[in-house]
Order: sequence, then structure tokens, then C-alpha cells
Amino acid sequence: MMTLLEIKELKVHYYTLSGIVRAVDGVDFDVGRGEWVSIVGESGCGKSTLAYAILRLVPPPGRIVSGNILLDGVDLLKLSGEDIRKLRGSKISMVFQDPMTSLDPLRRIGDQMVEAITEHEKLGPKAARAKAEKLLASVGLTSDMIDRYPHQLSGGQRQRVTIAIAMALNPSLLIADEPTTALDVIVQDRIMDLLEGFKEQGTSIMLVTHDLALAAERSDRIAIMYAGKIVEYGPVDLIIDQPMHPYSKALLESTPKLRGPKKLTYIPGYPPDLRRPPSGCRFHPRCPRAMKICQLKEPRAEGVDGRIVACWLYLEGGDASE
Amino acid sequence: MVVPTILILYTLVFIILRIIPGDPITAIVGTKSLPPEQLEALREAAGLNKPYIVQYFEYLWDILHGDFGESLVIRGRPIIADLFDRFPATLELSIVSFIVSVLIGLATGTLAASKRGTPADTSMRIYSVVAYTLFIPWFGMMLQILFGVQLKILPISGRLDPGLSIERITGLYLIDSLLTGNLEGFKNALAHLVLPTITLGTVLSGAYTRLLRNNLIDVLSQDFVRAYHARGVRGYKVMLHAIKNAFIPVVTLMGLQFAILLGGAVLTETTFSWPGMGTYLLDRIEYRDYTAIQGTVIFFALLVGLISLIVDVVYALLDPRIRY
Amino acid sequence: MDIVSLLTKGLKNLLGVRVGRGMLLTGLIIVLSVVFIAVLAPWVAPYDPTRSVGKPFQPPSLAHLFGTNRLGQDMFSRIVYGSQIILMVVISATVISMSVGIPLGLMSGYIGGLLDRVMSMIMDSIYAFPSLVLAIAIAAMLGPSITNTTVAISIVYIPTYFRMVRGQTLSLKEQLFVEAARALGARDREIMLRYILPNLAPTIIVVFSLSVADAILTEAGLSFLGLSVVPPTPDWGYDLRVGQPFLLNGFWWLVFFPGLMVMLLAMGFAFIGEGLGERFALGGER
Repeated sequence: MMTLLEIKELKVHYYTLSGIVRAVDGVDFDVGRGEWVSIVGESGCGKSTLAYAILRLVPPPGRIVSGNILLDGVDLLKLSGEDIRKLRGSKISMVFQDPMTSLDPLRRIGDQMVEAITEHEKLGPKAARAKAEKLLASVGLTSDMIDRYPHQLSGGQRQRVTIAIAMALNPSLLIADEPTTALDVIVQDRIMDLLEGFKEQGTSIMLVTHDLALAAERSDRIAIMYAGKIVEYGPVDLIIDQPMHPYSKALLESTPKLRGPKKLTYIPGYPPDLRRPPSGCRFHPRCPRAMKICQLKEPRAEGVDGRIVACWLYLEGGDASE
Repeated sequence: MVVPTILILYTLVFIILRIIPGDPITAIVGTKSLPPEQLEALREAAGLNKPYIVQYFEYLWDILHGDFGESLVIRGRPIIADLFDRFPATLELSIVSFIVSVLIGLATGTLAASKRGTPADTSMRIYSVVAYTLFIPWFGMMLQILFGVQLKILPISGRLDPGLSIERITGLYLIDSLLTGNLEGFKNALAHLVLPTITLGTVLSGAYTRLLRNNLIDVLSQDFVRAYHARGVRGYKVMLHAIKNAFIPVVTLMGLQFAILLGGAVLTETTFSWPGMGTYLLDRIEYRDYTAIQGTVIFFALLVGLISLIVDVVYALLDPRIRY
Repeated sequence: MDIVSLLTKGLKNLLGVRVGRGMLLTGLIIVLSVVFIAVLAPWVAPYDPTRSVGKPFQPPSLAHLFGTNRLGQDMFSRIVYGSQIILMVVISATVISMSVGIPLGLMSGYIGGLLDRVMSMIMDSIYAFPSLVLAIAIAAMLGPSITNTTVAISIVYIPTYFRMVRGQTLSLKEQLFVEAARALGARDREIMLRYILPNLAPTIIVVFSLSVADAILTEAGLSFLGLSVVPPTPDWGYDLRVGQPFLLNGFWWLVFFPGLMVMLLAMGFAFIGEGLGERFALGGER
């Protein structure tokens, strides 16, 4: 599988008046061509920031501190503002969480679509409009919606429109940040089907979500994120059936759909304050299998058993106990 | 909504001008020693010697038919004629000042929002408070001293230099002079408009600055702005879209501001000897022309009603969520 | 809420407080200084403001800090004593407005129904009308005097308090603590006075400051138009009026100081209102 996107040691910090929030603190991972990779984690773990960083949309006071983001070998972080703008919406697209607020309420759907198209492609107004109509059809909407205003559509319809806009220029990568959280379950399913359809046509999908079950259903690979770091990462079936990192296990056990008839558990404690993350392994205060070394040194991410995991339980130098 | 507002205002003005003073004629005319028959004649001319209820409906009926009564001082002169005579001056002053205030507000509000947190933002916010506490006569006079007396580059009173005239079509000198090809008149009228409209416009802009800044900051942090960037839309276009969104609540404010505009216009007219409705009102007060005072205040009330109607319509035009 | 929106919101508030605090402090300093001067006027002012104590039209000098006017009166003393007049008029007018507007707003908002609808319509209409023109109409009919000016101004600002209080009452009365009080058997009047009114205090203070600022401009406007005080009472607006004809002679001090004081005093109150408003996270009203 050819690699499309490669992220190396990415750090994104927010410089606030009450401290530096280390939202993404050294993340490595990659997305292959035509592959569906999901990033899963609790609220506040930094996954959205990671998604924004790829398109360099991190809002102030956030800043991409260090690292590389390589798209087909080109480091996106070294491009000029204008160059990255040209990539946005054409090679990499993004769909956001709340369809109620992702569209400009004052403009018709068609106008917004045409604008997105003509910012990148030289098309006359008629041709652009025809293309917009086709795009609407490709997401299962009728072309008469092109002259409607966002508030006249339902949430599911609006999300389809944003996906249509995102797919307008046939991007290599589509990033979806919690695209269905604000929608009901049936609509959720349909939207996911839609995304899967695009994946089959060659677009890579990167899904950011807190819903492990949702990710498990559709992904090829899955990355579990905690407190600004990726703790486990690999093929989805492997991780769901044989999770290694204690956090992955705990997450699975607290997800009703995936743990089967076992008792529902929860993870005690709270996600850490990213201004003052715990020393060593960030999960150690809540980890049922924490050892002395866990609080002293951060575990490296290493390939173990077909996936990548960052945990002293599986590294040399940690006490080998099982 | 407009009709009850106007009725209420009419009633209020009626109470203030007819009922509260007891006998308006003696209140207005004062203790000038006029023979009782003359006082009585004045009362009759003003329609005051009938029971209040009758007066209320009679006058209302007259107003609705465009009859604002006749001046008590200049016999035979219908007040409505005076009002139409003076109205364009106030209208021109108001419109141009309004435009000035919106431009200033847009510029400062956008600057403050886009440079949020910097000294530029802070100074804009201080500006918005200082602007609306400016005392119009004082500010106008300072401008007069600077530009009229010291630098001598701008006129400080009236609408035109004496000796010049513009053929009256609409009464709005800028338009009339262009329509009649009177270029010198146009330049002169424009010059006379500069100081008064800057005075009034600056004071009004304060509120717009602040509202636009706050709205724009909110809008800029909304999802659809992020979505625009994610689609690769150019920066300046995104800003324009954001401003359009932020601008809508400002339109409602403009409706409220109209009341401040009218009040400010009165002060501005007095400071710059501008021959509009404000100076007319004060003039009539000095001459104790009771019916004229009454007619002018009623006219103001009608204006307010009309403007709030227009604002509602404009608001609906701008925001599709209201229309559909 | 994700990190991103949380952080941007927090930052906004933090910065607002800093600017707000600066404004509040500046405003308090200005207002308190003027109040001081007003209270200590007889000791601060070097001359009797109504007597001719020097040659007319003297520019500012050591003898006459702000110069003299047409009648040879000392401008500085007139400014000092003028502060008494304006503060007296504006504060009394505001107190009257508050004592009418606040109870009406409280009752209207709490009781609701037809009373509320009618009152709101009346108040909204008055509010929509230009305050200065209304004040002019009232003052013109009643005649020029300090009392009449006070009455005129107080009527104009009643709707301001009414609307603010009514709006807040409407939202407060839905809250749990009111329901709890009712469940405990509290009577309506008790609820209004003991529970809702104290919660209105921050709003009232902010609106007070802002509308006093506006009232100062209205009072000065009225006296500038010749509808307020009678000479020789020292009044800032009035001094502007009599000084204006002499602008072309270059006698700038006749208008500069009175007008500046009007603006400073209004600005002081406005800064207090805005500063407090940021603190309490409120919007401003006239």
C-alpha cells in the first residue's frame, strides 16, 4: 500500500494565558492511499487539533511547534500560505462536526458550492453549476436543493452538502471530524455508507471520533489517542480483538456494542490537564497495571505483534509481567 | 407594529403638549400682557377650546389628511408647507452622516475584530465609548475652530455660500445640483456638508464600532468560517462573508440609532446654523408658535414610525432565515 | 466542547476584563473628581461665578485659569459651580426615572399578561422616540427652569430602566430559586422584592451609569438650546451657547472648557458603566 500522508513527531501547542496546552505532543502515524484510518479518543485528547493541523487550520493561540506532515513526500508545514490554500478543498478536504453551523446561513447552497469549485478550477458559471448539481446527486440529494438556504435543509442533508463540497475536486484525503455526532443513528449510518463509497473510489478517509464502535465498523486501521499521544495503532481487527494498551482495553470495555455481554465498566479518574500532563506515561494515574517505571519515563512507541503500541508492559526495560 | 407605535407617540405628544401645561397658550405665550380676546382667539385658532376627546380625534383626523394646522405667528401659513420646506435639509444631513457613521464603524469594527487582543483592538474599543459621549455642539465647535477659523479651509455654517443657489427639485442639494448640471453648487454644498456630517457621523459610529466588533469576533469563531478556510476560499473573501453575517444585528441597531440620529441632528443643525427641522423647531419655540411646535413634534413621531418599518423590511431582505 | 472553542472563548473574556478594569478605574477617577469639585465648590472656585470680576473676553491667565466671558465672569468658577448644577439635575432626574421605571418593569415582567403587553408597547414607543426631541417638547411647554429640566429628563429615561428590569425579570422568574420560593409559600410581592430585585442590582448599576452619561449629554443639550437654565446660573451647556457667536473672534476658551467638561463627565460615567458591564458580562443600553 502506498503511503499518502505521513505525520512525524508532530507537536501542536496552545499558548494560553493560563499555560501551554500540549494538545498534540509527539504524534507519528500515516494514512495509505485508498485507506480508512480512524483516530479514536475521549474529548479533549487532541484528536481534533491533530486533524486541523494537517490543513494548518489550528486557530490561535495554537501553533504547530515541530514535526513534519508529508503529503506524497511534500512537507505541508513548509509550504507558503497561498500554496496550502490551494491544497485545501482540492487535494485534502475536511468535513466538520456540526452541520447546522458549517454552512454560511446567508448564502444559498449552490452559491457556496460554486465558490468552492471555482476557487480551484477554472469553470464558467454554467459549467460550475452543472458540476454542483452532479455533486449533489453523488451524495444522494436532488438537484433542486441547489437554490435552497441551509436552514431549509435537515441536519443529514446539510452534512451531505458539506461532503459534496469536500469531494468536489476529488481529493486524495478526506478528513472527517466527528461528522455524525450531531445526527441520529440512522442518518449516521447512511453518511458512513457515503464515505465508504468514496473510499472505494480511491479517496483516503481519516475519521476522527470518540465513538470506538463506529470506527471499528468501517476502518482499515485505527489509532487510539490519549492526552496528546497515540498509544496504540494498527489494523482494526487486531486491535479490537486483541488490544494491548491498558487504555485501549478500558475503552473497549466501556463501549457497549463491542464488549459483548460483559458488564459495562468505566475508566476511573479524569483525562489529564494538558497544561500539566502527568510525568512519564500519561495514562499511569488511571492505569490498572501501572508500574514504577510508568511514572518516571515515557514509553516509546514500538511495533509489537503487528501493531504499534506505547506501553512499558511490552517494552524492554519495563518489568515483564503479564 | 408601526401603527400602535405611532398612535402611542401621538397620544404622548398630545398629553405633553395639550394636557400637561394646563393652558398651552398662556404657557407658551407667557405672561405677556395680551388682551383676553386675543388669547381666546389664539386658543380658537389652535383648536384648544373644545373638550380634550374632541380635540384628540379632530387633530388626529387632520394629521392623517396632511393638515398640520396653521402657524399662530405667521397667519395663513400652513405648517406642513414649512415642514416640507425644511425636511430635505435634515434628510440630507442625516443620510450623509449615517453613511459616514457606518463607514467609520465598519472600518474600526473590522480592524478591532481582526486584530483582537492587540493595542489596536483596545484603542478601537476605547474609541467606541469616547465617540458616543462626545458632546455634539462642543465637538462641532472644535472642528469649526480648527478648520474654519484657524485653517480656513471649510465653511462652518449653512448649506451654501450666500450668493449661490441651487434649483430645487428634491431639496437635497447634492442631488439637485447634479441633476441641473450645477457643478459649482455641488462642490459648495459638499463642502458645507463636511463638518456637520463628520461631527454627527463620529458620534453615531461609536455604537456601530462596538457592535460590529463583537459580532464579527463571534462570527469569526463560528464553524462555517473554518469551513470556508478548509475549502480553500481566499482569505479576503472569507472576511467579506463573515462581515455580512456580523452585519445583520447591526441593522436592527441602526433602527434604534435613528432616534439618536434625529436628536443629534437637532444639535448639529443648531451648531452649524443648518436650516433643517431642528432649527425650525427651536425657532418656533422662541416665537411661541404653539401649533408649529406641535406639528413638528408630531412629524418627528411619524418619521420614527416610518423608519422602524423600513428597518424591519431591510432586515427581512438581508436575512433569508426570516423570509423563508 | 472541544479544546479549540474553549480556549478561544476563555481568551476573549480574559482580555476583556483587563480593558474593562482600566476603563472602570479611569471612569471612577473622573467622576469622583468632578463630584469632589462640585461638593467643595465654594472652596475650589476663586470667584463668584455670577459676578463680573474681570475684564471681558480675557484669555486664560494666572488670574483667570479659564479666561473670562462676555460679562467678565470667571470661566473657571463658572465651570466649578456648573458641576453642581449638572450633577444635581441629572442625579435627581435619574432617581425619579428609576423609582418609576424599576417598579413598573419589575411588575410588568413578573405579572405578565395584558398589563405587560400594554406597558411594553407604551415604553417601547417612548424609547424609540428621540430622547432629546422629547425633552425639548416637554421643556418647551413647561418653561425654562431647573425643576422643569429635571422633570423632562426624568420622563425620558423611564423606559430605559423599565425595559432593562423587565427583561431581566422575565428571565429570572423562570429560574429554580423563584419556583422554590413559591413552593415554600412566598407571596408575589415578597418574591419580587426579596428574590428578584437583589439579583437585578448589577444590571441596575450598569444601566444607571450608562444612562446618567446619556442624561448629562441631554441636559447639556437642552441648556445649549436655551431651554433649560436661566442666566446667570452657571451651566456648562448654557456657556457653550453664549460662547458660540464669538468663535470667529478666536475666543476659543469660551466654549472649549465647558464642552470639554460635559464630555469628560459623560465619558467618566460611560467608562464606569462599560467597565462594570464587562465585569458582569452584560451588553450596554442607553
